[in-house]
Amino acid sequence: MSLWVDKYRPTSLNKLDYHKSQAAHLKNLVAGGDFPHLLVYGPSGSGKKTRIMCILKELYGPGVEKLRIEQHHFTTPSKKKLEISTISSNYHIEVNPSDVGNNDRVVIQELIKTVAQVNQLETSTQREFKVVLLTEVDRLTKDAQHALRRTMEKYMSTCRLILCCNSTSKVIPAIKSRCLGIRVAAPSIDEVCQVLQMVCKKEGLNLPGELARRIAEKSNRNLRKALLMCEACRVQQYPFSADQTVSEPDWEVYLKETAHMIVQQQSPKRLFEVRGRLYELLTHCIPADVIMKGLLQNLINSCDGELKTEVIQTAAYYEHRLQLGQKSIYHLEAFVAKFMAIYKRFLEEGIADIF
Amino acid sequence: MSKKQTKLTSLWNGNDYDSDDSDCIILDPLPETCSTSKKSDISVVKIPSAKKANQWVSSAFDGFDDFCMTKSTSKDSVKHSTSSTQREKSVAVKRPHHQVSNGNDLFSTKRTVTRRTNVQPDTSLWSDKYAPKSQGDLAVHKKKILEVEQWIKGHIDRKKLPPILLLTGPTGTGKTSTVRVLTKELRCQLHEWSNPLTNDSNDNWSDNTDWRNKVDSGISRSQISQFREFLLRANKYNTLDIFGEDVITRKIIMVEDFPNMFYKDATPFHDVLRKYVQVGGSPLIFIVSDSTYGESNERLLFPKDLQSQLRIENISFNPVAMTNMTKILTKVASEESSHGSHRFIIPDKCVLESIAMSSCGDIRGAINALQFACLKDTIDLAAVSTNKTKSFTRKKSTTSNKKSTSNKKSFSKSGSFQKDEELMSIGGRDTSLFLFRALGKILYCKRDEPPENNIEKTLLPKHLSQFYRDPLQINPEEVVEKSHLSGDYFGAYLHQNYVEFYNNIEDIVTASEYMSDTDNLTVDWASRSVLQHYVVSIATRGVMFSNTSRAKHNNTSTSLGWKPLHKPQWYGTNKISRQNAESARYLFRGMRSSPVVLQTELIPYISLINTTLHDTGQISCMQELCRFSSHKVGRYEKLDEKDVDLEDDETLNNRQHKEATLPLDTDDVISNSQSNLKNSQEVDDEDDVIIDDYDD
Repeated sequence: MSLWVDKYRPTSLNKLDYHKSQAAHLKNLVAGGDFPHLLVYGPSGSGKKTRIMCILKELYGPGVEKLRIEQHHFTTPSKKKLEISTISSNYHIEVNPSDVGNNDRVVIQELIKTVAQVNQLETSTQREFKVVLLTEVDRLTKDAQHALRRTMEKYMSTCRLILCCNSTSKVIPAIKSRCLGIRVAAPSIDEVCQVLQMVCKKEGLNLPGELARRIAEKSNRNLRKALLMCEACRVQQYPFSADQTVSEPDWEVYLKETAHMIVQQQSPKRLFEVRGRLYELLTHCIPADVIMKGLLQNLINSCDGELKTEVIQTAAYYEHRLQLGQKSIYHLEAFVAKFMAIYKRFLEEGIADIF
Repeated sequence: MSKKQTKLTSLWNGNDYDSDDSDCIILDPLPETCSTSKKSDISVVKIPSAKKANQWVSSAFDGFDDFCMTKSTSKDSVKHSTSSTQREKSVAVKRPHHQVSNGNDLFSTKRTVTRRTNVQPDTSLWSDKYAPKSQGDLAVHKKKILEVEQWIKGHIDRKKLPPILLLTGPTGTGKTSTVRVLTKELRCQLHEWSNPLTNDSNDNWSDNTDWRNKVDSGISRSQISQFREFLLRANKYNTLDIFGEDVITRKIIMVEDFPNMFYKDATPFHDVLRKYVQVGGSPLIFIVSDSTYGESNERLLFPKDLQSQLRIENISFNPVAMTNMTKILTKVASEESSHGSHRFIIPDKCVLESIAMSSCGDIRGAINALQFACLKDTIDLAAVSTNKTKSFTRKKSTTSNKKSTSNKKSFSKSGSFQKDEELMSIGGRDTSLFLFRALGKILYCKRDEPPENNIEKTLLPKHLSQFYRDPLQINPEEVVEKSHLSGDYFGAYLHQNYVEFYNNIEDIVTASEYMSDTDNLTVDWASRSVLQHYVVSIATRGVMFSNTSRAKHNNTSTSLGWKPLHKPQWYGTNKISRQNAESARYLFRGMRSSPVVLQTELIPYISLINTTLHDTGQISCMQELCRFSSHKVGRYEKLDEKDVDLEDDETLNNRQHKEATLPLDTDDVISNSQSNLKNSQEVDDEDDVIIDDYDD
């Protein structure tokens, strides 16, 4: 049994549920024969990958759906062995270069070289280029991005790149200018509801509109998350009721508790406990920036209007450092401490005002 | 004197030091044939002699088939015998004053008398000459002596469990002396192992052909086997009744000098210990000096699991207290000046104090320094340092008069950094600190009373007065340097522990800001190694400065008390999360999604949806990622008082890279990480260890 997310993923540009005009544009692009490098960007869960696969299918036909997982081995100039898994069909190869951390440059260069050096076998019936799909381009090192720029130009004749990322802010301008940017915006709440209703209908379930709306809102317009939530609700209780709780993943609950602890009490002892919980979250592979964001979202709810700017400013300050630095716990803890101090001062002032 | 006999007497090692005198040849049943007098014809005679020795030995030591010399070749055994004579000689030369150890008064007096006549008294070390003779003489803290005494008393007569005691502590804190004095007072026999010297060189010259053979196979092998034999036999036989005294049957074995081979590979040593526990009977005392850097001998020779397995008790000594030290130095100096070989002026009190201070609790070193300072040629040197120290001590005494509460702490307080330079002139030590103490020094952040004459200068303007701090007692950079840790790592330790030492959240805000700064400074890897020194400076000084509750020297009201320190969680957390991410990515690679999505959305929801997963690896990985322990907050390891952290950044990174390469057997990795998890959760709150402040 596969997840609904995978089961009802549209497979062709015609079947896409939203951004239909964009889909039509893409169809025209593919039909035009030649094809520039693409940079597909947009928030998580907005359907970037789905669109890319649709484009590929439009290009090569159903052959792209025959996927295989492969392990590739590379050796860095410093004789370090790298191993990376790719997903590929006969016509394209998908890789997430950030899996190998700092050595992504080697992977990008070698991989694209090997793919691009081999021409398409049947140029008469097929396109004369292959496609390399790179995901999480915004997590590439600067080094790798510059290497990518060179390779892009070099192998233009035999290979096209499709880059996929959440935000273009971390992609160097040189790459941006060499690609056709395609922005995939997050679906609106209505669109999410529509998709949910459609999926439930196909599953033979009756989804109350109110619940669909609540799920859509809670998912933050992340369609993947919305579908997962909906499926979780289905497991939790069926038939659906309009006011049933939409369950959250454990780590979010845990994070919420942590934020609650911070608001409850502001003392060194409490900070120490919070630190323990932060470590716990980190061990469960929750990225530090996600923790920071989650904490802020939960904390800001219990803040007065005038505090909000200060808290958000602090969060931004430490989030920036966290992105740069190595020891994320230092910055997370500094943020928590600072928030505690701000909040405590606020509470004390509030008490002073009463008397 | 026959070699055979020497060899046999050596079995009673520790009793018959006078093997070169003829009065102790007591072994009648020996066959006369095997006696050899010339070294040149050893090769001729040694084969039969060794065979006979084998027979003789094996019949007498039935219980120790593995440990008797069946394996050793005839050459070995002869060499063995020569080296054991050598050993006894070396004992006699090296530790003349130790002869008293078997409590045989008559014997010992005889020895000392002979030594007096032989040796020029001027050249003997005072630390040997004035070695403690009774409990009162010991500079060790009374509680520690009591502890050791109780252990000896408790185990001396019990036959069943062969007890092993491990004494640890810095050098020159009286570990050995304590044992000696106690055994003497309890009228026990002390058997001591000391390493045999390497083969007699004369022996080797005689036959050049076998020289290489002997070096290769002989020495190391025989040292270990000798050690083994010593341990297993020493408690088996009583002292022979040579001098007509009552035989003391209570014995204690002491090992201070470990055969060198054990430092390379400790497993044979552990085997010997296990065997000893099975067969031995007498209490066994090991003495290991601490080392703050590199591989700790204690951890190498006595790993924790072995300690618990063999129920080895561990008593650790602290550095000698400053008051005790000065007392003893004064005593030694006055005795020496009245009875010693040459007259000299007893150094005045502040010189003695400064010697005591600079020795950092090493009484042996202090006495040696004193002797050096009192030599004819160097007496003026002491005077120089007196002049230097005088100014300081005067200052100190004026302040110490005023502060009535912390008066007794004045010794330790003057151990501050500006003095170290001056003390070096009379034999100060380049010391190193245990990580535990180094952290303690930073976190407890003791401050001096400001000298009042320049108090106006140090006063800050009014609006900045909240930033005023009393001068520090220590120099943080120096502390870090002494701890032998990289700046990054020391920072991680500080970060793990600083919160508990703070009283209000505002202070933590500043401190955590400093910590955040430190990480921010080392962002660029190219400059990281240079900036590390600055970073640790910021971290230590930041932590010390931010703690406003400890800004003044006299905040006794906010006494922190004893707090346990912990190892940083960061590295462990980082490792586990990396492993988890790795295995998650590998196991769920069919999902074709980026790691962040996988870890924050897919896997958590899959666990909510109850999808049937077919892979056991996937299931356990999912459980690992989605199970939050809400009741247990911290999973931290306690930092032991004497833990030495070897894990430098580089090695750690290397290891992490190694782990980062995709694991082939992922199931294994997961179960590992789970067992790690359990282990760390089992680390519960141990009862607090009380550390006596060594500054009395």
